[in-house]
Amino acid sequence: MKMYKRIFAFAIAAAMMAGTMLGCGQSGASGNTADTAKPVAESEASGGAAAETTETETAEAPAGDAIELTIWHTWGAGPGLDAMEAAANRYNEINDKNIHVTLGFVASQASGNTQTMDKLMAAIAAGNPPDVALLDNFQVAGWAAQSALMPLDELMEGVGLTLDDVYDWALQGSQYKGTTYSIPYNGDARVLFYNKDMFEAAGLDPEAPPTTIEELTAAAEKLTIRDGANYKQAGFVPWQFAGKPVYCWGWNFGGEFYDAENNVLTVADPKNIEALQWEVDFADQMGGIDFVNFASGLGTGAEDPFVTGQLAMAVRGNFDIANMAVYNPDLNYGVTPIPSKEAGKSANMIGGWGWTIPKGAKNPEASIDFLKYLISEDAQKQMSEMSSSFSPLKSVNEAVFADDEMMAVFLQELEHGKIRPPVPVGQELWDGLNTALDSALHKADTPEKLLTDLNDKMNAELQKFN
Amino acid sequence: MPAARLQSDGTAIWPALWTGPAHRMEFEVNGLGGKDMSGEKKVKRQVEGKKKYRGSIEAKKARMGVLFTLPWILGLLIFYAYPLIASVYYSFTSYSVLNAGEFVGLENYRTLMHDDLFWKSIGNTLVFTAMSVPVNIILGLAIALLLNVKIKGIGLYRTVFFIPTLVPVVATATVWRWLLNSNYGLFNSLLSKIGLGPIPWLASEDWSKISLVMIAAWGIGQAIIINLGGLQDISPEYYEAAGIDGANTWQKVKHITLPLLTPVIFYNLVMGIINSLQIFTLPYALTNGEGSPTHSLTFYVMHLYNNAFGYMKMGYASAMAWILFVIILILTLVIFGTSKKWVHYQQ
Repeated sequence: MKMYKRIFAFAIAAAMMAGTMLGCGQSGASGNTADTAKPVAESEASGGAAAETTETETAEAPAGDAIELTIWHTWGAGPGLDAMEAAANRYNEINDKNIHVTLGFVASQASGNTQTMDKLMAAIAAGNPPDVALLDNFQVAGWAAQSALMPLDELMEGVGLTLDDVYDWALQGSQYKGTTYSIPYNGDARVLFYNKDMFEAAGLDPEAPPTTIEELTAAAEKLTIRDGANYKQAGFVPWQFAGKPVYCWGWNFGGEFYDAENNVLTVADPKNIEALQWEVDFADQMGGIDFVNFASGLGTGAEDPFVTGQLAMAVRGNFDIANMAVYNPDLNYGVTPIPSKEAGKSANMIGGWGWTIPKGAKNPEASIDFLKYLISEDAQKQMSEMSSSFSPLKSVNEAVFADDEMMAVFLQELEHGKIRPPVPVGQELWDGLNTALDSALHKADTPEKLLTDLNDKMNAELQKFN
Repeated sequence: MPAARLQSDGTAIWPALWTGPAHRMEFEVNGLGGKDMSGEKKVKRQVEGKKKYRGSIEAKKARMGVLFTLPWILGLLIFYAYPLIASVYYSFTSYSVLNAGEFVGLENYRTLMHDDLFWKSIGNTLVFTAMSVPVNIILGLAIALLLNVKIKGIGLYRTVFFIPTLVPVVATATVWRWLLNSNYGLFNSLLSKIGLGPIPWLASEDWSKISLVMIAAWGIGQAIIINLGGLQDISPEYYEAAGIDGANTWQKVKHITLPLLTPVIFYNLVMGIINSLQIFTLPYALTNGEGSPTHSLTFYVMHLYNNAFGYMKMGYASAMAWILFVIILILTLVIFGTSKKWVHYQQ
């Protein structure tokens, strides 16, 4: 009996040890061959913010000493991830430098927040970073300012890579203080989506959507049907979906948020204040706090109000098209540039991601070779086709989306799109603007005071980086 | 405890745990009689004891003991004590994890004093604690009293009340976010069936904390179990005696159960306050880190986390952490101090 006990005890101890080893596994170990990465459950964020990575095994490693590259990203399952995996697989097949790349998913699962890469921060500080990391373009400046990223200009020269053929916004998002820190990967544009059936029902011309702010407000008024304190149908919610960033309306009112020449934020530009005031007045016109509460309860996915026909107009991005088709393929909608204060001066925010090489990466020459592939026409065409995402390369967009009427509107907006200010305080500024919007809508303070205070605070923070 | 060595003259030598001067206890052992040792011999014995101790079995056992606990001690020093002390230092720098930063003295603390969101988060946290702790204690106590009866299936009921604590916090947050949705959540649709208007549970400042207290109360399973343990500890003799004297149930609870349960209530109070002041995962998962609406759900640790990992201001966050430490320490000391008046420990 004692013998059994000993063997049992030993087996349990061994199993626990094995479990601990697996839990603290090094990135770079090959995983399973699933098509989509399955993230492992994460421990309490307050305990040190450790997110587990899982690897997706790509093509078979070539025989001999392959150079292993680890790529970290925060994208969950979806066509975007599929396209990324396809690109990695293709690269593994065709590259002649015996390089093998493996993708790793490192987002925090507590919130689905794709912007907080605390694991990357810890890895760089520990001197054991991945070889490549995917960052949102407005965060690149923040990481670069902390000297956490490798400058890429010399490496790019070494492999003959230039960013000459990309859009302006892609170039701006890749640079900080004149040095390149990221290679742009994709982009997305935003336009006004509107429900043609609901337009007809309200007596509006479905082929003549609003082009100015006045027309937009008037149309929204006509399309809103109240039912006591509830809303059977809402015409428009300016701060819903892609209309949420204050940038969207500030730009469309003719305002600017950043003066690049003088490296100063201009959040309190009078036109920005006017834009925020318009949003507050819009809410009042539609019912005040009832409207704000109604808007905050709107859902996503299957309960997306635009998809279910509860919302007549919405500012959305091209990334929403595929999702909406899943839940309501018969939705009869059109797209038009976002209405602006002055007709014809529509502006829209371009989102997008870029590949960076963290400081301390072991093999930057191999990394830049992979990045050169990712920005090549072949890889970009495949990415665009598979995920309906735009490319930073003009030629690719024209080739892939030429025939699509709807995409033509997006492409037009992509041409003169703007990105969020590429400053090191980008994340804090983003949160601050969301807070200002929230406070303004809940009448905690006036738009003027909110934006002026935010401007002063963020400029003080920005100066610390000079 | 190393054994004493009994000597032939009836005295025993109890070795010290460390190789220090050997202590000696002289006592009478039955049957052998104690003898008065002369000073000389005593000294000799002491020296002997010391020399003999170093190589003795007791010393070996002591060393083995230290070696076995060494992993834990190292873990404590490396993963607990070192970061703790390091963070004090970091709070005086502009450390960002990626960069060592420079020494800035009290600037982080000064900036904190002017940070509106810092004060708002302190207010939110204190208000939440003041609401949540009494609710949890009273509710935990009431349910534990109910679960203390010996009816059939009581084990099942106790398990059922404990299960919510096993659900991961993020899953809890997701489900509750749907239940409390202002437009199509279950709560509001039930309310509308009895004719009451929709309540903006998670959409308005006035209701958001109440909603959070409701969700947090879901986790009182642990407190209930501890209360149950305390309840079972109360000897039934007291109840019998009171019954003989003619006390009814409520009087029994008031005069026997509650006073004798005060140590357990005290424990739940202290732990409840410490945990409520540090609440993070639940509001973070509920609001995606934004603390909306209007930062009414931005709690102290959430603001700390955003600063540390979102804005890369680890030095600033360290300063916040130490201020929280001081607040919790003061509150805990106050509670401990006043505890003597109302906590009755059984003999």
